[in-house]
Amino acid sequence: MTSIVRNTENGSAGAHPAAAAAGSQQAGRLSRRGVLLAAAAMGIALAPARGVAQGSAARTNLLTVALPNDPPTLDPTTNTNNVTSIITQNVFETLYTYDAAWNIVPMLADGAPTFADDGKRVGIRLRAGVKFHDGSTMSAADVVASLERFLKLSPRGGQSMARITDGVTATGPLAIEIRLKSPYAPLLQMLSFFSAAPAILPEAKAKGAMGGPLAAIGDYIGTGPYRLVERRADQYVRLERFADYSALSTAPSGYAGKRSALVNEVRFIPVPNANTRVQSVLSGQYLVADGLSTELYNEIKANPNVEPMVVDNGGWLLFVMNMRQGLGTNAGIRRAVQAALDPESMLLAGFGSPQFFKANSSIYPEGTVFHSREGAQLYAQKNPQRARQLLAQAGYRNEPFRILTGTQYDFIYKGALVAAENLRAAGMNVRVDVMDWAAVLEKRYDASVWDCFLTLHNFVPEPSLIATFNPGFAGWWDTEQKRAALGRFNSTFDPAQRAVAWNDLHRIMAEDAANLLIGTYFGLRAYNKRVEGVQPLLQAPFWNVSIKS
Amino acid sequence: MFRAVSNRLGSIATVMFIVATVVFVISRVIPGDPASVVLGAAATQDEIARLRIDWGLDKPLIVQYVAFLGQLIRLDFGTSLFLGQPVAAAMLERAELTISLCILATLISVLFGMPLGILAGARRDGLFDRLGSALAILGASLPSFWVGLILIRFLAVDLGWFPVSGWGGPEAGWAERLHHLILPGVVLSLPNAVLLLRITRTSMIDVMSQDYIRTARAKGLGPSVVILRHALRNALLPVVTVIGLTAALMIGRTVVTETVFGLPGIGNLVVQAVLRRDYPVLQGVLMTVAGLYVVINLIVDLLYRWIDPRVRGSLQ
Repeated sequence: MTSIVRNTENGSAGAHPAAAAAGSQQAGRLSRRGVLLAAAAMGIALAPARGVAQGSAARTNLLTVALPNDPPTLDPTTNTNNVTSIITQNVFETLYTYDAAWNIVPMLADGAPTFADDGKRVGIRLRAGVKFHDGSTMSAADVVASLERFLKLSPRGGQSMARITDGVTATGPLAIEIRLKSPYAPLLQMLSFFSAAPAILPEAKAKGAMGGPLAAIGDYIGTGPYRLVERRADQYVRLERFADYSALSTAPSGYAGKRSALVNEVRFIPVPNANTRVQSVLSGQYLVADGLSTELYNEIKANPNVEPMVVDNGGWLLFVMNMRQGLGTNAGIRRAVQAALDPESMLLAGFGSPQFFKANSSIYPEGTVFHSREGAQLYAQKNPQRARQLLAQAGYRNEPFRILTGTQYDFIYKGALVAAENLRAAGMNVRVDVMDWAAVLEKRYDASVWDCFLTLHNFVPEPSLIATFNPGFAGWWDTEQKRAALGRFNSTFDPAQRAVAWNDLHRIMAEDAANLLIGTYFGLRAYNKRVEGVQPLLQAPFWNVSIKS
Repeated sequence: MFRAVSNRLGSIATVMFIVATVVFVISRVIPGDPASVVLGAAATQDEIARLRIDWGLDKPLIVQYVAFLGQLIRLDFGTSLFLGQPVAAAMLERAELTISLCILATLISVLFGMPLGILAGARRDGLFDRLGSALAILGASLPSFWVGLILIRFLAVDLGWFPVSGWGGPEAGWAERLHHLILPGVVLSLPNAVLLLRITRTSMIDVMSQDYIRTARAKGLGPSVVILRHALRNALLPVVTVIGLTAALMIGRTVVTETVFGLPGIGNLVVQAVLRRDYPVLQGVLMTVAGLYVVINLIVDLLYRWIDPRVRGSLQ
């Protein structure tokens, strides 16, 4: 099938028997001649092996991508795991998607939606002739069933959207209507985002998996440029070019426009050890390595065959306060914590170089529509004296302030340690509870065991997709002013009014000191210089990506 | 004989029941929840609770425990929450790699440890002895993961002789698989090779001071004949015992090696099951390992009884 395999097999098959033969001939005698022969045999064994990496260099049809872990599931709808989205976005498509400037543009929809009844009835026309991987053609019935599944199972937006959705119906062979109880401005964001996505499946597949994740490999039927052919847990996930892919004709931009499968196969391989993962791309064994530690940047840069890629919109770090129980319910103590923190030091400890983070008070970067200066005066105060005053006013009596943190993400752990020192400098009695990530994910919903936890949030292009704004998210931030501001933001369609509403929400976030923004961070990826077309996006797609011969 | 076997089987059932209880309790006592892991960091409490219901994790622990015991009686470990395959199938699939790795590592440790030990023991305080002692100290002190990373760096990345990780794609043949296993095999073999070196050396020194060796030399036999034909055969007895013991213990050390080299074996399966809180896999692997130990003990007991008539009475 491929040159890497042939080269390796030729090399090994020719070499190892030689070594074995030499070994068997000399087994009974320990002489200088034996040692020399054994060394020669080793040389024969290893010399062609050097060609493994070089042999792989000749390949242009197998794109190998080393990922930080094996996806817990490949269902595109039922989870928010980054690794899952990286893979599944190549297989499944949504009605809308994002261009390079994060504007929403049609994907499987045929044009912009139509709004009626004060925005409560949303009509969407569908593209004709779109083929699924099983050969069937997409119809309104498929889209209705898929959206119903999304509303029932998606943890990010689907289930919150379900609360205000009356139903989804087919209004024609290629037309659907979404009926809402009230106008819902983030609707198109929900229909576009690729994490916990409203992926479009054939009706039978969607209806057959209404209770949970897709099960059999044959259920993973999408419309994307690649189709899922094999998953071997902890070994690899294989995608193959979908020959009948129904591509758009518009120019590629971000996730939008014409998608082309330029290689025969994309293979995702989990390599959990961060150092091994980077070495696998430096050696040429794999062509792309994702989710790399920023400490490895210089080593990657020094390799002539590999290029580092800094992913601008990685995500942000948040210090989430427990507003249900304990010290975090006292607004004065929350503001004291806010006054004491030194975000830049936390980020520096976590990422090593300012090249990989930005200590800023705005969730969204400058130049974007959601960049906000509201609440900036409360950010990075680095003022332990003021924190002491606020603690005294709040009636703090040296109770332990418990920071929950995990070791899976090094930058979170290190950031939490720096935060603990900031708070101790302000006179707080701080306890850092360190556990593994699975335990953190569980314990954060036990309000009795923590006062705050440091967490990451992947970049999302729109505030309505931010999980921590959900009142059900750990921290339980649900003040009256926040609820009102979020309501205004979600029900306002006018872009100018939305920006105003977002500024309000941004200010309230800082004033409530509920989710303390520490800063934004960037990701690091490495790819072989023969690979062309990888985009600097957190979840980079692998369509329009090719390999030079 | 029948009575002895049935007595043993009765005690095995009791032991396995205790092991099953301990395994179940340990897997549920450690904090963490598979539903939180599979849904990702953005999931809310309600969403996690819904998945827990789907998976039956909301049921009282005693109900889950009884269901677990019921499965065990049917020799069914259930289905992995993450892998989409039965636990038994997942273990079998990975066993091939782990067993291959252990066999290879044992071979490497024998090929390096024994010859060096023979040379060191045959010429006490000679060049090979000093070299062997230095290697033994080095090999015993260096942590496996560090050696693995260094070998990856120099032999795989700089020289390009070996793949860095994994054990080949779907099209990989045995030669490619073997090629992927060489570096991890070397790393895994290191502590065993060092131990074998020391044991062989000690055993050789012991044997070389025996009278029959002096006699062999007095007969005018050459050094290689004395060492290989007269001394080695007798020195090998304790060495073979150590090879057997260390090969069994090696399986436990595959956890680190498989993680460093990204190998999808049993060790990796256990690590991932712990990190994901994949209860069925965790329980299945632990029960299998415990079961294997119990069965091996049974076989050894019965062999003792067969070999030594004095034991028969005590077993009955």
